[in-house]
Amino acid sequence: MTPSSSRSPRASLRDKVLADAASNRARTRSQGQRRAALVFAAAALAGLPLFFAWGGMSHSVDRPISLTIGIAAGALLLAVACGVVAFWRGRSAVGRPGSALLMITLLAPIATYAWLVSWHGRYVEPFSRLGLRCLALTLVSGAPVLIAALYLRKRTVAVNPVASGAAFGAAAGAFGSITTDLWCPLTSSAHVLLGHAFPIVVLAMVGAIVGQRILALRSK
Amino acid sequence: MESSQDARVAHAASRAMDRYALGEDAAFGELYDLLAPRLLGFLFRQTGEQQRAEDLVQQTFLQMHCARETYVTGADVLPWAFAIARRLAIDVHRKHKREVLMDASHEAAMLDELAPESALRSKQAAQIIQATIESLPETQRTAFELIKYDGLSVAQAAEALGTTVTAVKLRAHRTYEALRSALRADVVEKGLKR
Repeated sequence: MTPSSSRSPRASLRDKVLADAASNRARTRSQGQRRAALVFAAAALAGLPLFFAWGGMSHSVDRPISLTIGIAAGALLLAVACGVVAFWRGRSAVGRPGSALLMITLLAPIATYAWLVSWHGRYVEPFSRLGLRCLALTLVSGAPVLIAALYLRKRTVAVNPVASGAAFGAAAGAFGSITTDLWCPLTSSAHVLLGHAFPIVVLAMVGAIVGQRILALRSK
Repeated sequence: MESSQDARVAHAASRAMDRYALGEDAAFGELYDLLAPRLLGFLFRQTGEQQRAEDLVQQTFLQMHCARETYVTGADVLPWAFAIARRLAIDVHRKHKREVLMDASHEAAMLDELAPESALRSKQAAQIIQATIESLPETQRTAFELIKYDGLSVAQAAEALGTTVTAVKLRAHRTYEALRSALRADVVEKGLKR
């Protein structure tokens, strides 16, 4: 069926549209990809000063190194999975369906919690803490990634800006928790809940709130 | 459903957008020629005003131009273009608090060519259909319109609306059910009057 609602625009509209494009410079795809790579790389490194200021991996020295690497590798896999769904739009220029974005938002904190708690009892934990420093480290490591994603996709999200922002936040939190997992040797349930899973929820909520304002397309 | 002609246009537009995203500026005019009539038809139905619809077409293309760095090479451009157009229409609608009108001119022109009695019946049916569609929630109405009026496939409509194919099928099915019920109720009412 030929679309019954097709209409012929005035000839002058074509000139206006082309003049608009000529007067507004826009990056090409390859320029955009280079910029995105740089911004994400800078964001990923932004949390490291605090990690090193708080002792780096020496803080978790009492946990066997193989376990530390195993835990961090699992967190990395989860973060990559969340990042692929949240940041990469696959074969669609529009983006993922809202249900996929919602799933990532829920999966990131739950899987982080389940993954870390599953290691509890496999080694003697050197001390116990409430988890406030882990909370801060995850937020400080994840926030730049969220800011980078919001900056790169500013005013370009046509559908589901709230869900996109939430998924960005959850994925950013998952990336932030890799640093925290290298630093923190604790896996008790209450600690993981407050220090490792809760900051992901916080970043997802911030992403959802800010996403509506920053990501959504606006008419001029 | 999407016809083969629509599919060819969609394919040509997607390839033009690919080239434009990669830096071939001349492809933008080609993209405009392929998409502007369909976007204008869609936006005219959303706004009910030719001038506002044309403004929104202009803005849609400007957004596509500005966001070309984020365009996914090899993707179908049609859902993306319609998603941008819809978002802008919703935004403008919210700003202006204007009623969304339906395009009845096309149907009216067709109806005038029919015999007076059947034209009257068809006009009444068209009014019922129009009123029923207007009363539907925005997401349900747009899903139906994208498929029925704008020639998008169910998959393309789902992508444009940021939802699943199943959800779009369900929305379209509910719309058909609502239309069927409204027309049936009208027939029953007329039967009782006789």
